[in-house]
Amino acid sequence: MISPENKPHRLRNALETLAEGIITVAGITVIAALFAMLILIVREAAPLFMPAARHETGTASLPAGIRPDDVVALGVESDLRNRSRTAGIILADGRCGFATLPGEGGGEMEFSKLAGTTGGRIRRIECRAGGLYSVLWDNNILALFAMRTAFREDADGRMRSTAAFERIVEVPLDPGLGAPICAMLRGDEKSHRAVAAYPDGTIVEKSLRPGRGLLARGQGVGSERKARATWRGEVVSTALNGDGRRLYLGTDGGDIVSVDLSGDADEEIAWDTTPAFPDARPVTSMAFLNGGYALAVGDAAGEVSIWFPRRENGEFRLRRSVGWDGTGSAVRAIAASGRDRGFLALDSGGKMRWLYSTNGRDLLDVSPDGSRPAALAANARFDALLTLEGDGTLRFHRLDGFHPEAGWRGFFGRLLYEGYEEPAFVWQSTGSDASEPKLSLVPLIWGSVKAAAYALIFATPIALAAAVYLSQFTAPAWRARLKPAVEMMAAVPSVVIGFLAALWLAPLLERYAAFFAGGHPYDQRNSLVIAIAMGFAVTPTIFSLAEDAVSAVPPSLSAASLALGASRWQTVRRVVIPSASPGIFTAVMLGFGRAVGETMIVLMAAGNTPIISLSPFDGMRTLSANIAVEMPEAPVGGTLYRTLFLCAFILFVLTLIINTAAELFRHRLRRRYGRL
Amino acid sequence: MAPAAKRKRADGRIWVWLSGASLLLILAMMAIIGFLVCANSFQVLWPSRLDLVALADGSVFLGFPMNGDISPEGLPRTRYKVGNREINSGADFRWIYEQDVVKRNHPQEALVVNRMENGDFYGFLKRRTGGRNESATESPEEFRESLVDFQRRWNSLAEPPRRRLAALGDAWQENHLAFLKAEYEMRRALTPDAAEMWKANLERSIEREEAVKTESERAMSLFNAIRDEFQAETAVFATADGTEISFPLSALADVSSPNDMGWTAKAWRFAVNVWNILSQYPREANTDGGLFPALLGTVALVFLMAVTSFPLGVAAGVYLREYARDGILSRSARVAVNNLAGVPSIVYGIFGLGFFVYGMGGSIDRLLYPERVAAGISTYGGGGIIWSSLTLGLLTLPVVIVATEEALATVPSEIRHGSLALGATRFQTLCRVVLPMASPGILTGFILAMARAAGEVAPLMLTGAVKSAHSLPLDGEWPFVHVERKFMHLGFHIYDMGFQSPNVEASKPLVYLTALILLILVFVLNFAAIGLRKRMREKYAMRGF
Amino acid sequence: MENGDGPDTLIVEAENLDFHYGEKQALFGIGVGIRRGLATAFIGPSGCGKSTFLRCLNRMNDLVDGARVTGRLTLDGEDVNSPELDVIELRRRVGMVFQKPNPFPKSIYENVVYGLRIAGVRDRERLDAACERSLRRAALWEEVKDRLRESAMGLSGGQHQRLCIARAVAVRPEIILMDEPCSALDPRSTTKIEELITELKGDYTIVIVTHNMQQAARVSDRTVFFYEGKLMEEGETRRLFTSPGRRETEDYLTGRFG
Repeated sequence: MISPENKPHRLRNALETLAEGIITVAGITVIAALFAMLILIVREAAPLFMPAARHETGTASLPAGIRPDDVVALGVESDLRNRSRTAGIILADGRCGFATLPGEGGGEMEFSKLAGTTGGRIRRIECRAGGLYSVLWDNNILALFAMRTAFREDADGRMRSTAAFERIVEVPLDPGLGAPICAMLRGDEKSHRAVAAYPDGTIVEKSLRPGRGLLARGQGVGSERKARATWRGEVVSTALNGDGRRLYLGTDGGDIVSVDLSGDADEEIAWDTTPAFPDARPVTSMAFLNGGYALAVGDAAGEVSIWFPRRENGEFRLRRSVGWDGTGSAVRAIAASGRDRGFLALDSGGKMRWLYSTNGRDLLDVSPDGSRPAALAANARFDALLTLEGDGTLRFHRLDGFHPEAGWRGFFGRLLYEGYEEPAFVWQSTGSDASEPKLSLVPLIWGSVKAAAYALIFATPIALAAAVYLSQFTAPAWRARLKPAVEMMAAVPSVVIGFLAALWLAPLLERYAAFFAGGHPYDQRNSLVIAIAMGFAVTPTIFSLAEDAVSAVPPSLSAASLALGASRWQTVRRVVIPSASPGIFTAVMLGFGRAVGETMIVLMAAGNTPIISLSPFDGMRTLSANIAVEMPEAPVGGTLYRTLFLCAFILFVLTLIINTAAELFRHRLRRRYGRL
Repeated sequence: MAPAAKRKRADGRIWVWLSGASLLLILAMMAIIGFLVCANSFQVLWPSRLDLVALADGSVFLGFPMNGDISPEGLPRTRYKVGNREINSGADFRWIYEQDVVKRNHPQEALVVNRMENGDFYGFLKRRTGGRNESATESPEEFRESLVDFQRRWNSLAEPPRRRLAALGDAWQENHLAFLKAEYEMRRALTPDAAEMWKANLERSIEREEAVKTESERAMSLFNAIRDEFQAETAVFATADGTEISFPLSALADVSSPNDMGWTAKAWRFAVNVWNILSQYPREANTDGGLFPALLGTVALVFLMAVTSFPLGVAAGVYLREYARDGILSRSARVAVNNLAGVPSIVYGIFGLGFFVYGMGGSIDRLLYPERVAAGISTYGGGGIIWSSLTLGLLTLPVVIVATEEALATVPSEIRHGSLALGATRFQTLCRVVLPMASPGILTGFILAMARAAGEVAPLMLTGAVKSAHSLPLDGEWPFVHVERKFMHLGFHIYDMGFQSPNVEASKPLVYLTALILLILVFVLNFAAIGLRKRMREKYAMRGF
Repeated sequence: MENGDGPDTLIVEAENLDFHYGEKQALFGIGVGIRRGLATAFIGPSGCGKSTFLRCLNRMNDLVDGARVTGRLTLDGEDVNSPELDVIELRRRVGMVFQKPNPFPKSIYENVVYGLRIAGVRDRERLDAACERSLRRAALWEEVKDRLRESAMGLSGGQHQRLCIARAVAVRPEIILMDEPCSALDPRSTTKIEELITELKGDYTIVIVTHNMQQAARVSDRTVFFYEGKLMEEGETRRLFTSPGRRETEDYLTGRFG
C-alpha cells in the first residue's frame, strides 16, 4: 500500500474544509448580493410611501402682560437639521420679539419696536410664506418686513441663533381713501408693487418699476393705478400672489373677486367675480400656493378647495380642481409651503390639516393633542411649525413629509394639473419652480408596454417562421451554419441598433411617411421605427428558443404524420408546431420580457416624449429610458430620485412576472402536450 | 401523382415560401447593418476624390460627394461635404441640384487640410510665409514636408513648457486637496500639538500654491513667447473661388492631396487614417479626432469587470452545484439567479448608482476625504470606472453562474466517482478532474457574458461614463490604474455623439466608425468563445465504446 | 502481501450489517468474510444488494443522500464505519473498477498516476516506475507504451477498462472491488479482463460483482450469493455451483429467475 507523503490526515482535512469554506462564503455572498439588489431598490423607493409626521419639539410662553389677542403675526425658522428653532412674534402695538429653543435658560422674551418703524399701531398685516410681512401702520405707511434668522454652531457644538425683522421697503398710502380692507407690498427698494383694497370697492396699485431705456439711468419709474370693483356683501379674506399681479378677494357671500394687476402702468385694471359656493358660504381664508398659480380656499363649513385661474371664451373664470371635506368649523388660516404645493389649513375648532394640492392628498391631521391652536406659522421649507394657543403657549413642531407628491393618486391618478384643460396622466418631472412636478407613471408604463408590443408584432411572425423553416425545411449542413449566424444577431449591441434606427431608419421612413401615414400627424422618431429596431433586437431571443423547441420534437412524430399521407407543411402545422408550442410560447414571452427592459434603443429612437397614444406614428417614453434620462439630474434623496427607483422596481417586477409566467405556462402546456 | 396529393402539396407551399422569406429577411437585416456600418466607416477612412464643382450661377466650390437622392420636388440632387466652416457660416454640408452643375473636375493640387479646430478645409496652397524659409512655389508634397518639419520643431520646443504646465496643474490640484485636508484637520485637532502640525501643513501648502502660481506664470509666458514666434509661420490658401485665407501652421493637423494619389498612396493613407483614429484624442467636442480614450476605457472596463465577475461567478456556480445541500434554499437561489439574468440592465445601473456610487463611494469619501466632501468635491462618490465595472460585473454574474452550473452538470458522475474511489478529496476531484472538464463551458459562458457587457451602455451612463474625461483610467503615473476616475467608452460615445452633440451631421461619420470598432470588438469576443468551445470540446470529448 | 497471511485469513468481515437508503432497507443482516488473496464473486439477481454491499466496502455509499449503515464491517480488523477512520485512506486501500469504464479526459500517463499524485507523490521517477508497473500488470503496457502522453480518450472500450484497472492498481491497494467490470464490453475484451483477474488475484484480493454466472465460475475462488438483500449462501465456487446448499441458489443457478 502506498503511504501518503507529507500531509498528515488532519492537515489535509483542514485544508479541505478551508477550501470548502471559501467557496461557500463566495457562493453565498454572490447570491446574497443579487438579493440585496432588490432589497436596496425597494429601500430607496419605500420612503415615497411613508406617511407624513409631526413631532412636538418644545414650548415657550408669551410673557405675562401680553395676551394672545395682541399677537398679529407669527414667524418661525429652524436650522437645516432642526436642532434649534426661533419663533418671531409681532404685536399689534408694533413691537416684535423672538423666542429660541433650546433657550439660554431663564429670561423672558423681550419686545422692542419693529426696526425703522414710523407708526404707532399696526392697522393691517399680511403674512406670506418665506417670512414676509406687509405691515400697514396707522399713519398709512405700508412697510414690507422680512424675518431673517441666522444659525451658527459655536465652538462647543451648540447652535446659536440671531433673528431680526428687517425692513425692506416702505410705501405711503393715500390717507384720503380711509382704512383699507387689506394692504400688501411686494418687491424691494428698486422695484415694488403695493396693492390695497378699500371697502367701497376701490382698488389701488402703486408701483415702482425699474427704468427702461437710456433715459432712465437706473431710476425707477413710479406709477399709480386705480379701479373700482363691486361685490355683494363684505370682503372677509384676501390673497395676493408673489409678484403682486393677481389679487383675490373673498366675500361672505361665497364669491371670489379676481383682480388682474398684470398690465402695464397705462393699462386698465381688469376684474371679475366668480361665485365659488352656490350655497353662498363665506370664503373665510385664502392663500396662494407655491408657484403663484393655484389658490387654496377655506370656507365657513371648514371645507378646503383648490382653484385655478382659467380663461374661457375670453372670460376669466376660477375653476375648482380638488377639495377636502368640511370639518364643521370655519377655516381660519392657511399657510402655504414655500417648497411644494402643500399647505396647512387651520379651522376655528383648532383642527389643522396638512394637505397637498396636485394629487389631492390629505397628508396628515396635524392637530396637536390636547391643544387648540388659534394661529400658526410655518417656515418656507415647511419642516418647522409654530402654533399659538388661547392661553399664550407657543408650541414648536417639526414636520416630516418629504414626498407629498407621491402616493397612489400621485403616481397612477388622472389629475388636473395647473394650467391643464382636463385631468390627464402626465409625466413632467422638472421645470421651473413655478411648474408643479407631475409624476404620473401611467404614460411610462404605457410606453413600455406599447414599445414591447410593437416590437413583438414585428418580430414574432418573422422569428417563428424563420425558426420553423430552419428547423424543418433546411438541410442539416445549412442548419449548422445558419443557426449560429442568426444567433450572432444577439451580439449586436443595442446602442448600435438604436443609433442606426435613429439616424438612418427614422429619416428613411419619414421620406415615405406621407405615403403610409396619410394625413395623420407624423413624428420622425415613432413607434414604427421602434417596432423594427426593437424587433430586430428581440428576434434572436425568440428565434433561438423557438428553433430549439421545434427541433426537439421527435422525428418519429413527423414520420408518423408523413406516413399517413400529409404534406411537409401540413405535418409541420398540425403536428410539429403544436408539440413545440410550450417552447414557442416561452420563446415569445421571454422576447417580450427582453423588450420591456430595453433601454438604449428606446432612448435614441423613440422621441422620449411621455404620451399615451395608440398611433404608430407617435413616439413614447418607457420606464427604462425614463430612468436613464432623468437620473443624472435627480437630486439624491429627493422625490424624483426615489420615484426613479420605484420605476426600476416596477421594471424588475414586470420582468419577474413575465419570466415566471412563461415558465409556468410552459409547464402547463408541457403536461397538456406531453413533452418538451 | 394523384390530383388530390398534388393539391395537398400545393396549398402548403406558400407558407413554406413565406417562412423561407422570413429567414432571408433576418439575414438581410443583419447584412444591411453590417453594410451600413462598414460602408459609412470606409467612407471616412478611404481618401476619395475631391470634386471641383462649377455651378450655373458662376460659383465654384470644392467638396466631397457624400450621397445622392431625389429631392421632395422630384429633382436629383447630391449632398456635398464642403468643409470650410468659417466661410460657409458653420454648415459642413450642402445639397446641390444636378441640373445646376455645369462642370466637375478633379484638380490634382486640390488639398484637404485637417485642422485642429473647425473641421476640414478644402482649397489650394498659395504660399507659406513667416518663419525661416518662406516659399511661394512649394508643391503640396513639399508643403507637407514643411508642415511635418514645423510640427517637429514646434513640438520639440513647445512640448517641455506644455508638459511643465500640465505637471504644474496637477501639482496645484494636489496642493489644493492637501490644503483642504490641512484646514479640515486643523479645526478638528484633538491636541494642541496636532493642531500645530496641521497649521504648519496649511501654511506650507499656501506657500506652495504661491510658488506653483509664480512658476505657472513663468512657464505660461515662456510658452506664449514660443507660441507667438511660431504663430508667425502661416500658410495662405485659396478656396475654389479664389478667396485667400491664411492659417497659422500650428492650426493645421495634416494636409493631403487626394486627387494626386495612386492606389498605393491611397492604401497607405487609409492605414494612416485607421492608426490616427485608434491612437488620437478626440477634438471639437467629439466630432473630430480619434477614439483612443474611448477604446482604452472600454478595454479597461471589460478587463476590470472580468476580474470581479469571473472568480465570484465561478465560485457561486461551484457552490450551488457541488456544495450546497439540495433543499429549498439552493433551489430558490437557482430560481433567483435565473430570473436575475433577465432583469433589464438599467435596473442594475440604478442599483449601481444608489449603492456603489452614492452608497459605497459616498462612504469612502466621508471616511477618507471628509475635507473634500465639505468643499463639494467628490472622489469616489461621483461615478468612476470601478463602480461601472462592479455594476457590469453584477450584471454578468447570473450568466456566469448559470454557465458554470450547466458546465459542471455535463461532467458525468462516473468520473467524479472514479476520482473519489481512488482516494481523492472532494476538493481535489473538483480541481483536478471536474473543473478542467467543465472549463470549456465555463469559459465560453464567461466570454459571451463579457461580449454582452462590452455592448451595454445604459448602466454606464449612470455610474461613470462621460463624454469627455480629462485623464485616462490607465496611465503612466502611480498607481497606474486609477479606479476612481471617470472614463470614456465606445458605446457611450455613440450615444453621446449621435444625440447630445451640437453638430450631429459632422459627427455622424465618426459615430459609424465607433460603431464599427465596437462591433468588431464584440464579434471578436463571440468568435473567440465559439472557437474555444469547439476546440475544447474536441479535447475533452468522450469517445470510444 | 504481508507475511503470515494466507488464503485462510479474512481481510474483510461483515457482521449483522444492515443498510438503509432513507426509508428503504437494502441489506438485511449480512454476515460474511472475504478471504485474503482470493477472488470472491458476488452473484444474484438484479436489485439483490450485491453492488450495494460492494460499495459499503469502500464507503462509496456515503455519496448517496440518506444512506445509513448499521452493524459491523471491518477491513483488517478496523471498523470501516468508525468516525475516526479516514475515508480517504480507506479508499486508497480499497480500489474500485466501475461497470462503465471511466477514464479521465487526461493523458494515459496522467490517468495511471492520478492516485499517486493526489496522495502527494511528486517524484518523477517513482511515478514513471509506477506507471509502467501498473500498465504491465493490466496487460496494457505493450499497446500504449509509445503513446503515454496521448489522450486516454483515444483508446477502445476494452482498453479503457484495463486502463482503469491499471489506475486502481497503481496505488497498491489491498483489495480491488470490481462492479460488473465486463458488462459494457465485447467478448474479446471480456476474456482479456478475466485473464487479468486471474493474474491479479494472489497479489491482490479481488471482489467481483457479476450477473454472469459463467464468469463467476471462471474467475472466482469463492462465491457469495445474494438474494433480496440477504446473504443466501457462501462458499467455495466449485462446490457452490455443483451442489448448492439452498433451494434459492439452485433456482438462480439454473436460470429460474434473475
